[in-house]
Amino acid sequence: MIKEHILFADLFKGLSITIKKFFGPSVTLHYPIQRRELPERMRFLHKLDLTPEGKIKCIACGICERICPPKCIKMTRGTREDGKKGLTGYEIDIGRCIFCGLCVEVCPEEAISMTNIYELATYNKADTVYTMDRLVRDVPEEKKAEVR
Amino acid sequence: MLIYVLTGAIKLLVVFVLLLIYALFMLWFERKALGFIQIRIGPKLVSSGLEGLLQPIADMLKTLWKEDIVPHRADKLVFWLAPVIGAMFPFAAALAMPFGPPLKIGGSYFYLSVVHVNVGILYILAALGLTSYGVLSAGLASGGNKYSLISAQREVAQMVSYEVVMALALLNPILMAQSLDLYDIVAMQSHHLWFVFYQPVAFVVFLICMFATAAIVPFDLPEAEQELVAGFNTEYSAMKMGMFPFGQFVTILVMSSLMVIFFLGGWTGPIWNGHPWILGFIWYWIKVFFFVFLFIWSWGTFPRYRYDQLMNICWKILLPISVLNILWTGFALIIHIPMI
Repeated sequence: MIKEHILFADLFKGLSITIKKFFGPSVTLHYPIQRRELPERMRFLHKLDLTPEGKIKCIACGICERICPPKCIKMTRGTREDGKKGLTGYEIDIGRCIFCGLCVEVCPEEAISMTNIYELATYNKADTVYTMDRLVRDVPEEKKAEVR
Repeated sequence: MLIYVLTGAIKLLVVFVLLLIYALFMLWFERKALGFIQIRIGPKLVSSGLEGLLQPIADMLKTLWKEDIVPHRADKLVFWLAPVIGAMFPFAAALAMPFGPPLKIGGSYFYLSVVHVNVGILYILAALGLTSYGVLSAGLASGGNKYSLISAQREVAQMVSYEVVMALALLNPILMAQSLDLYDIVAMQSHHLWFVFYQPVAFVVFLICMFATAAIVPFDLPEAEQELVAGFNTEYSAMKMGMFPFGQFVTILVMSSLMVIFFLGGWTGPIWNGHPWILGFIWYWIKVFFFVFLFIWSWGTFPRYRYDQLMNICWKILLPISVLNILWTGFALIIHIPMI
């Protein structure tokens, strides 16, 4: 009673907490100048994995296309350059993707994985569609410099 | 005669410019300090080498270029007058506020306030009291906006509660110094202890009223961003809206200096007393800016009181305490209890 109503102990406690924080360090990350170091297998931009021989692992089964909740994966099948039937085109519309990771989880050949490239904003809506040759590269060269 | 007019005009200009610069950089300091309190860093990108010190200038340029929207149903004249009143009267109050100890030139004193009247405290209290009319008319003229109206009502309720108590709290030092002149009150404290040691209760009461006067966080009822979407500010835009914080920051400065003058000995220091002049000046501004910081500090710390709670505190607790305190002070002065 006396402590709270006459000596205002609780008010002074609050003031002491805030003054400690005032002189303490801040938790802010200066984003465009500093960037957080992310693990390689974060759930951001997709990557089509290659076999050790440098061929695309994907067998064009189409499960990822079917499980994708926002239907942002488009797969085309046909006769490839080497004359065999298989995957000819693979598109992910990043503008629609919700980064749920179901396509990675469901892939029987572990042919698709996700990377830590998260700065995917573009000036052009057409750039949000990632075609096969953009997805194949381990880390796109234009993004490599920015990732620290 | 002409020399008085000239010095008066120069003083007025200097004080006005100083207060404008002060209010601008208080905008920066407030955001920065609140940022530090909330473990952030506050504004920093405008002039990043100076920790964002030029941010208020950028803010002001932006505010000046904004479209000035007047609601269709607003009372145009009062709507236009309200920010003028809200910003003008704190500046008017600051005219009687001492900006430092008086300079002794030859045989006469040079006072560092625009007007030196022997009823300075009455003038300051009157001017600060009129500041509320800015908020009141802003709320009423906002074309029937319910948030603005509630805000105006709260401002009036708050004003009638704290003004009585604040005047009663200030009455104790006035009785002890037997003067309404701010310089006399400081002179009294240079011969004795600071009044805070004789009048601790009045000190606490005035401290509480100080926050209510400036409408800073425990008692920022008219502005209450979370409930009233900034209350009387709701319908204002551009520079009209920018003028209210200007008035508020000057009110903070005036209240801090009143606090220092009435209870903490003005420009007298704990170890040093009188000469040289510059030390008094430094002492004075250290104390004033401690209280200015205290406002920001409590802004970042406390939750808001409800306005019935504020009225309870003022009328049911602080008012009886103040009256009893005045009775005791008068009694002690009549029987001449010696002052240290």
